[in-house]
Amino acid sequence: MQEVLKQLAVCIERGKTNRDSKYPADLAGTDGAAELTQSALNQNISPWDILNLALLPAMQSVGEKFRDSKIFIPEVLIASRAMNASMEILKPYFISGELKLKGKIILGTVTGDLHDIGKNLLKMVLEGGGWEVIDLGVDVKVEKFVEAVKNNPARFVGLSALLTTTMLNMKEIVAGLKKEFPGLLIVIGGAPVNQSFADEINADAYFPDPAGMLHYVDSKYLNGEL
Amino acid sequence: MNSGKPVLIKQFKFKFQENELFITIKDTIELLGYTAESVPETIKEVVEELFEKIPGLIDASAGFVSFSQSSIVIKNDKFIIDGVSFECKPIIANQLSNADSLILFASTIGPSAEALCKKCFDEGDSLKGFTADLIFSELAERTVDLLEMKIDELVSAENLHITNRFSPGYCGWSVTDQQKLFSFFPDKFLGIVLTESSLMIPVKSVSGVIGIGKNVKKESYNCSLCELDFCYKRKHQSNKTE
Repeated sequence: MQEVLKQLAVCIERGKTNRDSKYPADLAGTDGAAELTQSALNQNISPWDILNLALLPAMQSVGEKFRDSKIFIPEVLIASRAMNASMEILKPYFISGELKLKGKIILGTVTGDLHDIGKNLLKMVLEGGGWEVIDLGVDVKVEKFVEAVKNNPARFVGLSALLTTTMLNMKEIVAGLKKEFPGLLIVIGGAPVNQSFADEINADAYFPDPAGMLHYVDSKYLNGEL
Repeated sequence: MNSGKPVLIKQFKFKFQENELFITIKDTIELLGYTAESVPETIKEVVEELFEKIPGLIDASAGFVSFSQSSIVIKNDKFIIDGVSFECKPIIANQLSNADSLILFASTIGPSAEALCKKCFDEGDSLKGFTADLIFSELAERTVDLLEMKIDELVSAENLHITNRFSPGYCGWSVTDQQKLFSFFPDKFLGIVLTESSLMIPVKSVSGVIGIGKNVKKESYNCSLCELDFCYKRKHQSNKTE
């Protein structure tokens, strides 16, 4: 792999957004993700290679470290910020169709619940993993989820809830979505839920952290199950 | 107000000065998962920056309404105040069962907290938004802790005790009862309004009930009292012991 891609992967993983970023201290004053992405393009490295050989593997490594408790949420956010800086440079290639995201994922906090921090973190991690996220926001009713899937054909929907009372609304949303879209895969998350609850309401999966969901959707993508 | 009967309403303002936030930079760093030695410098800087800003953004206030024995009925799965029934389920009703009077309370840290978090996320600074949300959640808990201490002081003077505080949305008590609870407060009490789904805005607010009496006591939180398999507190306890 070209040196610039190796350096780029290091910048993503360690959260070095651009040359002006002071963090990490040992990389102060050196090019960051934004400059290295541009530099790679200038060296005629294809946007596909930049994405698939540097950016996505780096974010995958970040997700794995988080899953293994080697790093914590703040470092995931810093890495995601660096990833977004690179994606901004690659944006014209997504618009032209030369680069494609892996697919669409619809996310929302369920009816009655206004908590969005967990969902926002998941969104950043999924976007960092090369997925397009349609974020429906908070207090999302089943009708809005159904309409979103109709308007944005997607294989995955993620439901979030923070309260023991609002998590019960997941059942109606899962049933409503499954009735309209039997092949849809529905993932749930949030402090009060667990795998047993996912089984009970007929959701397809539960993950306690964003890295788990990213791994799940990536596995489906790699197995050609989209 | 729901009832024409006289009730005691008390309201408090709490000022959180810099260095008196009841949560320290060290606490916050630990909540984020680090120690003072392991925290990356950039994350420490974000925490320090927020600690300079946050005292000016907090408008912490709290208040309560109290109801004497003649206005309340406590059954095995509900409590009734002035004829209004709160379906709090047995876990809470059991803890309140020996209370001679009840207090309905609310507290908030005001609207600026979520405005700052939203601004950070909208501007793409999710690290700051996430960290701010964490600090604000702690301050919301500290505010209601301060209210509970005030109530404890007041009732201790009369040789009475308090139960734990219980909130709609937890221990099986439906969050929709928040509508009934707020019907006992003046309109827009402390600036809090309820959404159609009965959640409070500002989000960093807490409401609930506390029992008072000679024969009640605060219990340390015990998951074995509760039948909710999916409660986050149970999961948290189990993670701690693994």
